[in-house]
Amino acid sequence: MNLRLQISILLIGFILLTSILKMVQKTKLELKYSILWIVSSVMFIIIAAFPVIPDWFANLIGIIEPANAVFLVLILFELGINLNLTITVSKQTNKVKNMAQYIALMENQNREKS
Amino acid sequence: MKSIIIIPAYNEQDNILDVINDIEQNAAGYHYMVINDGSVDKTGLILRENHIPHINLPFNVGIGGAVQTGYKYAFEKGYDIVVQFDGDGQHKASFIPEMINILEEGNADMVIGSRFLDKRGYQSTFIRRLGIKYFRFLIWLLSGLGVSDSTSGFRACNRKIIEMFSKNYPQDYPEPESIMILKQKNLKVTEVPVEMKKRARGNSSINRSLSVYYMVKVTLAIILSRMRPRIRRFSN
Repeated sequence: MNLRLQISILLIGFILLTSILKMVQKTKLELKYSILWIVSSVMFIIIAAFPVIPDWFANLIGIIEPANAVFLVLILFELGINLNLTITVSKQTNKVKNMAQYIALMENQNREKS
Repeated sequence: MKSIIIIPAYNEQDNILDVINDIEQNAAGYHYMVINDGSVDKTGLILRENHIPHINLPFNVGIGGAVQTGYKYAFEKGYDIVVQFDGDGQHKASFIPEMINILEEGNADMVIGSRFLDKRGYQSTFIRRLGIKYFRFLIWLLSGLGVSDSTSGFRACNRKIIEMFSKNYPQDYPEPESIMILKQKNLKVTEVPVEMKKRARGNSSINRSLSVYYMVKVTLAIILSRMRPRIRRFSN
């Protein structure tokens, strides 16, 4: 990994981390959902700061160019975040459905009483 | 035994009164409840003005969620038998007493009204029959159960299943999947021949562009419910 790429990734990592922390601070982003984002951006920074990690990882799984290993790791983190979001959406869909059913049953009960 | 007919209805302003009349004439004496699944047409108004018992979902939750609302109601109110009856006028209420009888005699936990056993009435389009045959094969392969009309929404079930479904019911295209769930729990599913009508007005929930998605989704649901007998779904 050359120095320019290293600095670029470092910079991106820092910008990402500070903006995420700021969003949590302003309660724009729930802490619960920010953790994976924070971990990913810290990974950004660690990878850029210690190029031996991508070198070792690239060698381990047979990638010739360590920069590609960096991208792979980042993509995996994005996949993790996406999967996590899909799980959250599924749970919330179910909660919203149950709430709608509850409201409907209550409304029916009120009507039957009156 | 205390029985109730639940009728899911989404935008059925042109059909719902005919459906209720059919029930009043051919399945007289049974309680019924329309589940208005967030209709945006005059369905809600018609139900209110004609004093038809109904439950209004605050928005459209889809067929699975609508039917489950009926099961929740029936469970809370202590009904022993639930009959599912479509709000679009495809089903004939004259078959309801027979289905309830089978359950009252304890010969099955669920009865499905099949349009293919006697091959009378509307037999659906060729392509849909093909899809239903494929589901029949898939369900038979995975459970050994021969169900000729697994997509039929005309069905009746007993208290045991009412309790199960009120807690947990598949959401998107629930009919074939729910048969697998019952089979996994060793509950007895039988079919009786019924006649169905071609839907008079309005649109089916499965249109052409959705049919590939439907096939894939239901196939996956059937296979998954076979793989995990006691699969925990997102539920209350």
